[in-house]
Amino acid sequence: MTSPARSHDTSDALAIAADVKARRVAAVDVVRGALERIAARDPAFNCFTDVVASRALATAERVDGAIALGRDVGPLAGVPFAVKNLYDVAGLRTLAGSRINQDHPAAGRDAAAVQALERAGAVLVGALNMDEYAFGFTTENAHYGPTRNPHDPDRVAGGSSGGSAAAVAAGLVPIALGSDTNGSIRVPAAFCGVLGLKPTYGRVSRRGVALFAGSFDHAGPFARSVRDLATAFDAIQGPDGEDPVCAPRPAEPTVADLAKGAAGLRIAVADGYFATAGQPEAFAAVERVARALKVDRHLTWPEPERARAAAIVITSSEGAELHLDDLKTRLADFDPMTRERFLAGALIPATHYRAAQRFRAWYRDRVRELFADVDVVVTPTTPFPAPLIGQQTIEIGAAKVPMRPLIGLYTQPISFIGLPALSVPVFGIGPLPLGVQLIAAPWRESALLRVAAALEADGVVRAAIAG
Amino acid sequence: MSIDRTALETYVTVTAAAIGLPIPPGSLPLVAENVLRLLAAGALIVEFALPDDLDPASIFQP
Repeated sequence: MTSPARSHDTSDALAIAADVKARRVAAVDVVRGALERIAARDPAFNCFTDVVASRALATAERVDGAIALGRDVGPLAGVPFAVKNLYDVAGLRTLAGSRINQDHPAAGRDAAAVQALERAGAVLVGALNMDEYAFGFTTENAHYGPTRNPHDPDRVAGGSSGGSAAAVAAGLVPIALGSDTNGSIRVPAAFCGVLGLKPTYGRVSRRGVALFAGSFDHAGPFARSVRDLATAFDAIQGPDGEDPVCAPRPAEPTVADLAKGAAGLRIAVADGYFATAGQPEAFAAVERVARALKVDRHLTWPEPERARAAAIVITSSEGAELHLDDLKTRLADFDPMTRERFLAGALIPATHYRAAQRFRAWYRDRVRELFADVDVVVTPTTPFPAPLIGQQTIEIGAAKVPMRPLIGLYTQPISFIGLPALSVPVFGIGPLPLGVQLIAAPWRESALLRVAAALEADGVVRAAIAG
Repeated sequence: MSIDRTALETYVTVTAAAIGLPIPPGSLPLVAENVLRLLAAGALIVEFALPDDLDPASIFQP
């Protein structure tokens, strides 16, 4: 054990795991280093709502013990990770960003994805801040305070998995888990300059993950390197009989395919809707990625505006129904950022909800047709970089428009039909990072990760620790 | 989407009361604004012609 844990502060997860497995550093020391980092730096960013230090050190000791016995502890040996606080963690209340859930009993066992990462050798160190009940894109949480963007603490981290993205961007942990209903992994990944993968709907178990809108809710990982992201994804993907929407199809590991890069993949940039209503930097990031990939093909996505509208209707309706009892009896305990939107969601005519679900089937079939002759589609992740905390409006062209409703413009039409999508970070266009969204046909996460790996190898995509 | 503000607030008040949902007076304008936004989104969908035999994707298989 010659290498102090401190040298692993900025390593990616697989570099840490390699050193732990080779016994160049103890998992306990790596985890202790992460806990010290969180204690020292998290007050500036407010990523964590819970730190499970005792559990983490005990888990790390077990990892070290198994390695000492010559056992295979998995690809993420000794890697600290944290999860959005809507994942069940045994012994913690699953807050889902709410005050109301403080009155719930503690979870009896870990969520499936938490168990899967620990089976792969990783070590849970805590739970992370989010928008209340995942209904937001900024993590300006009235109960637990805003999570601040590590690249500019006056700005939002994005949401609803803001704590997850910020914890990775700040270098507190190399891997985190979040959830994505309409963009809640991809948006904070873009704003914080890290990688965020929303897998295909049904690819990753949601057992033990508090729902927001069950029709669209996905679990997925954040990381600072493509190989870390792929490794975390491979660890959590696959069937789970305890999750009724988890697909009964075998896992399709992606790590081994990364070396193939983008060779042979048909890639196009989406025009029209995905090339309007954003600030110039968002499109400049797409152009930079397209140039690096030598892509000059453009395509027009079918009915994205209507898809987004339908996603909003379904999300609002399902979210309101899920929390209807609390809306009736504990309205004052809701975050002012969500309260009136939840109330409005309870008042949508059933005809609109059903029409949105029928449209969804139609739209899915059109998009399937589109993917018959393309493998990966490129769009901006968000229309602009991270706004200021408390910002209400934003300038798009000559117009000043409400900011928050626009954040999910490019992500909502994609998760609406469960397509896998990956936000990759692009730096250097302006003072803040931007995200570029890579989209594939269902179950083609491997294609997304291969393109991301190619971009990372070219230096176009990188996820530096802030500061 | 054009709708009379008074009619909208009446819709919100009456519909919420019918399902036992409290709308604090101070919240009514913001709830109504959000309902208007959702109705506008819904209008984009219901105006779109779909085949009568198209089943909803409520249990979704990508």
